[in-house]
Amino acid sequence: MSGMTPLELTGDERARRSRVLMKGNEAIAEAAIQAGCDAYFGYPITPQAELLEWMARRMPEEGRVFVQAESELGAINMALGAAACGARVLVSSSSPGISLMAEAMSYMAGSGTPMVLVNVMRAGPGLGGIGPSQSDYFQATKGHGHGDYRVPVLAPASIAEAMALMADAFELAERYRSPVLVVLDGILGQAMEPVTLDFRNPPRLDNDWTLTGTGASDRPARVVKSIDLDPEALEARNLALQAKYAQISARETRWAGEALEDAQYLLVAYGTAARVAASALAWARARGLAVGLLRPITLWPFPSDELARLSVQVRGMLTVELSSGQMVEDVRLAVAGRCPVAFYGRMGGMVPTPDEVGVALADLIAKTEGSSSALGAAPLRPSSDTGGVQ
Amino acid sequence: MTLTIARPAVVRPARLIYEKPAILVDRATHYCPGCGHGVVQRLVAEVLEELDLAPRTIAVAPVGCAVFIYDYLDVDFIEAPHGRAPAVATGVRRVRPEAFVLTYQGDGDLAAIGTAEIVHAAARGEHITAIFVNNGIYGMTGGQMAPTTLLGQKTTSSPAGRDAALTGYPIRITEMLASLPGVAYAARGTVADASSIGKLRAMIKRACQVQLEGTGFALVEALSNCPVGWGMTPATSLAHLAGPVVVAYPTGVIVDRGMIAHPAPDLGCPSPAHPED
Amino acid sequence: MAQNPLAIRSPRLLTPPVPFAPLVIAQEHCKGCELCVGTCHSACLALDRTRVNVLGYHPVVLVDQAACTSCAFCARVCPDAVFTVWAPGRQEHS
Repeated sequence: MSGMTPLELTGDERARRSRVLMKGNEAIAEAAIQAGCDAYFGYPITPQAELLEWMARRMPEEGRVFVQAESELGAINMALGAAACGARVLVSSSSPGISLMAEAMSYMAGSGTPMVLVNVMRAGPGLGGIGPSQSDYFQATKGHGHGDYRVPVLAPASIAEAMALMADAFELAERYRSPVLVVLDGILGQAMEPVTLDFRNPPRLDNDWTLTGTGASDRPARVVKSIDLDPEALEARNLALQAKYAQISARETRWAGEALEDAQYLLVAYGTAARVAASALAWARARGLAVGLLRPITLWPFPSDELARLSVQVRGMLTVELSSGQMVEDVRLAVAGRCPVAFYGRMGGMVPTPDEVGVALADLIAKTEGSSSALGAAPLRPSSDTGGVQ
Repeated sequence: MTLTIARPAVVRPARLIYEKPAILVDRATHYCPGCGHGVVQRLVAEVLEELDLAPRTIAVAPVGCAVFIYDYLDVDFIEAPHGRAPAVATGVRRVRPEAFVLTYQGDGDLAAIGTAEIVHAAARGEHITAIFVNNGIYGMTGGQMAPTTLLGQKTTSSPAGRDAALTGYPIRITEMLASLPGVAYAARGTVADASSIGKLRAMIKRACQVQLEGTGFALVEALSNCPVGWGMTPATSLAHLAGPVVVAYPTGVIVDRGMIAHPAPDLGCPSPAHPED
Repeated sequence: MAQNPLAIRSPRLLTPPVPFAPLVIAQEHCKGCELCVGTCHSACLALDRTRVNVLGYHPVVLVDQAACTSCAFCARVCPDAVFTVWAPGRQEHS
């Protein structure tokens, strides 16, 4: 893209030219390219078509592989083949397309094939709408394909963070031989934000499993597969997977906190919802309320330990999502009843406003402290209007 | 007067006429007695060895009776989900220009669930060789009807015999694919007898050579038997193959374009045999 | 998930059997399908119904060595690749 910093620029000029306004979809695509992505397979779907189009132009410029497949099903299976050969592979889609990729996710988890998959989430279920959503949390953390497996899920809250997470995602995928999901709602895909063109290309790991042809080093043939008809052997394979997931949980959980130290109430949100919640946090703090915000960055592994720790400190939590309430279930699991957990959300492509979150927060505080309103005359909205106050 | 010229005795040593290819793993297979998969995979091994392709082969295994083909052919393999082999092979082909890429699928895999993948790999003219073993039935799952099952054929999911009014007609995939410009070679052979097997072997070899020539997608449909699924002995199943089956699926080379209208993209493969005029 | 420990390549039989026989048959891989029996033009082959192999089938044996012409059609039709075929040496003189 024009405006890319030539390497020969130095000092102020380079710094000036390194900060640009980029659309989320395109920024993520460029970050993946700079992170060494060898092959991209995709299919057009709103709201991520720009990612595909960026790749269509840039990948051939870099001498790398770009294929627009006949469907998401084709794209993810091409990715499976390419990744099994040791390529650093990216696929992107949006919610209905991710559903089509569910089968291959299970195969990739079962066969230990690394890959990064970006889901620019839109509202569902079914064909739904093209507005932003977080209603694929279940799909990302607990669903897509069949079988006993987990997939690391990264959830950026800004375009700059999304770009940085692309390199991390490839690294995680290759270190643990697993598909990795990066989820962002449609706003992050479509918005334009100032970003710094500061990229990272993670080094490649040595390996003994990728398909290269036996003759390359006259070695025994390798097979990348997930089948094992012997129950004992398949159980052993599954136990190895579970051990891997335990390792990932122990080492790779990420979250960001704001104003946690003295928090009496906690907002829990990720992605764009976290930015809305952060505005509500500022509003609350300005009124002298000790509110904090926990923003999970990995949706799996989920920051359950930190939430458990906070659940004895705070008097209540409010989870905010662009959904009917999916992450809130994991919050409640982590909290295990130690404090009340309320929920506020919008669906269908609607985005909560800081005002709405503020009202929900006020409700929570009022209920917890037993007083009618700690905050003045903010009226309660009827439930049918908000669509998700629990 | 006769003159007898004594010529020295010439001793010609015993000659090896046939041994199975080295890359065909030395073990018994799980296929039923008389199953054509055994013949087709042996032919693939013979051709890969003859053309010295095994060291750089990356092959894609199906779901079906041939799901364990990687236990029988000693080359790098990736297992594909049901029907997806041509898409998986596309990924392999694009990132490994130096590899020889082969798919091996049954009719349930290729002509039912995998129809989109094979059509689009063929339409893109992917430089892969696709082996399609068509026995007109779902063998691995116990003998159900397939899109390629013959009319009137009784299977476990068409116990009264396939009725066109209910389930349509068998699909001639190879003719369909041959209509696509990206397909450089499409042929159909059978395992019905020694002579047919010889012709099928030549088709498989040509399909591999087409990949080396870099002219496009190559497909060989190998009509095969399924003695257990068809409810026949191995011998009668081959008679059935040579009879009603080849009436429904005529054998021969359907298309061999030699060179297609657009030049092959430079993926690192050897240059096309026939440079464009 | 890497190499298959059972994938042993087929050995090369570099010398013909002694005493000479035109066929070397991997009887423990035979499934008794009799496609070779049906294909052989010279009726050289038959199942040995006196025993079963490790797979539980009657394996094929060469019953008429003199009639074998080493045409290798049996090897062509065999789904289990049990046959190695040799043509006998000849001593020619007038």
